[in-house]
Amino acid sequence: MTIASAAVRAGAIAWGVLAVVLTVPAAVYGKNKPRRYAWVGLERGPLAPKAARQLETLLVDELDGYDRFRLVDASGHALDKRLLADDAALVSKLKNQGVDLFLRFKHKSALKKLDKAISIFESRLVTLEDYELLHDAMLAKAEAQYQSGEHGAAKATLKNLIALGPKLAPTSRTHPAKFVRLWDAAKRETGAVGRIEIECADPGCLIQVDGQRLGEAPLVATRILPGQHYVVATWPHGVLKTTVRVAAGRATQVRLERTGPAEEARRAMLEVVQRRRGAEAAEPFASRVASLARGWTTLVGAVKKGTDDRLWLFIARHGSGGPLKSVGRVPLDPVIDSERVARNVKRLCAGLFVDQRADIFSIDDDGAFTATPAVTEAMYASRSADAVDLDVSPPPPPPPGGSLVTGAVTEPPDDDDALIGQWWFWAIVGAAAVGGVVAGVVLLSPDPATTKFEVRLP
Amino acid sequence: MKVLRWFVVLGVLAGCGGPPTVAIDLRRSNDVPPLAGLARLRMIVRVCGQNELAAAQNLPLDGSGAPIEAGVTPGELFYVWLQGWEECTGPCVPDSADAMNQQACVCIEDGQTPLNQIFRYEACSMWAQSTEDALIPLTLAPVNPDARLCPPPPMTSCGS
Repeated sequence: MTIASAAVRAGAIAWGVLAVVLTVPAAVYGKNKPRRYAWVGLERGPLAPKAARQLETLLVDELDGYDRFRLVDASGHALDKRLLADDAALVSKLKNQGVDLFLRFKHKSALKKLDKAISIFESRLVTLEDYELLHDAMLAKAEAQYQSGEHGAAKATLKNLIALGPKLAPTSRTHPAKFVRLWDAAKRETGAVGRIEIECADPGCLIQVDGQRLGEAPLVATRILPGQHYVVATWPHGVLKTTVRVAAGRATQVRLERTGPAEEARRAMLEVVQRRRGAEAAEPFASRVASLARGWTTLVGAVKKGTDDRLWLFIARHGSGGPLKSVGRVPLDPVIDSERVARNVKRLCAGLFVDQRADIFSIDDDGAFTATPAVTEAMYASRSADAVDLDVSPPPPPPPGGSLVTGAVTEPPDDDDALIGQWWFWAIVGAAAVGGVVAGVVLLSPDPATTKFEVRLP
Repeated sequence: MKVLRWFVVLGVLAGCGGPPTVAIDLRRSNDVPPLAGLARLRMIVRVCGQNELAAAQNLPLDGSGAPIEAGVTPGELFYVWLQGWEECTGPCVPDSADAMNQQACVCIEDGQTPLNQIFRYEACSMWAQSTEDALIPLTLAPVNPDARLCPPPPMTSCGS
């Protein structure tokens, strides 16, 4: 063996080992990483809107707790607090790396890390109630900008930070005096407070501004410092985020309306459930939602009235390509905040994601589990979709505009020519009497209890 | 007295209405042999929300049968399911819904049709309702175990 060929072999072995070392943990991590399940929403059926929102909140809270998946909305925004925690850990890591680089005078690299941390927070974490991570990253960014000589940019960053009302401000103990003076200057230049007038196109949205929960829209957020702010609208089924720039002493109007392909697909899927167009009709929308939410599976809920007039809660799970994978149902009390509803919601979710004893099942009040294919039809299909009215009787002809009876009533009779003296008057009275008797006899006679079926063979 | 006679006549006329007739116009798809070759042509009528069948009867294969009176109150939701059975050879299994759906050779012990039969062809209506005479066209087609057409999916509500 020559030295050259031995070197080539050694190199190849080294590359192979490196590849294994890199790919195996990645594959294991990928396999164990929880999948993202997209929540489409709850088709409320006969439930009142407020009760439906209450129920959906309960459902989403319950779905938030399963290890095998993380819940996102149709647009891919986290509904699961653990996803937010993962993203927060990432932002924290980037911020710490940025600060570390800054302390080693690598300002450009530090700014890149800090910008990335801020960008991830803005895109994924503005639904958090705690913005301290963002405040820290912005302050570190301003400091890095200042130290690299970008004083104007540093002041702008500080103004943006001041607008968010951070709890901690730089002091001479924590920061260089010049930087503290820049902070003070930025604060002085901040104008008078303004306000944000917020409304939602869809009812039931809870508003949060810069992490602070304000309540249900419409509302006016007052005492808002000029600058950029993060407005978040939260429905049980999803989140909508936007940034708003408030001018000094001015009011800014915001109308939050969910639009776009994810929302369209979500609504279309709920409409399929509402109109009971069949599970197959839901599949393309389920696939679309999964794809737009970067999810693996799509979940949709529904409340339907059964043949026994009872309310049932359904949850269906569609695979990534859209096909219906499982559907379950439990009885539902109209009073949503009851222990029984909470217990049944738990049972249903456990049946879908833990027990998985059957793909299509029904759970009764006592928790008894029955595998029954009819549940799919009960959720997705109905009479209105597939019944055919075979009543072939022609529609009754419209009443003639100038009929004799109409004319007799609308035209006052001549005084000299009284009705009772006219032969046609008595003819009409007689016909009406006979017609009334016939109608009465027909209506009062019992309906036939049978139908005849005649099969004509080819 | 004359008036009373008139009312009697009207009552008789009103009572002459009788049950409505639903005519099933049955056709064969190209891959279905003439019906005379079948062992049995069975008609099932089910009313929504009822466990008992409204009608379950073998039809004469020459088309000579009289109309069948089924327990369907006019206006009720129902479906009609026609099943074409062929004679089969070999051992047969007891008659059951599972055996029928699995296309097994089933033992039919009605004493009128061959003992060994297999369920081969079917046609069914959607859920329908009628208060008057009506016509339902149906086409008999081979049973496809992977994509069953019959019976129609169950109803969640039988209200009209």
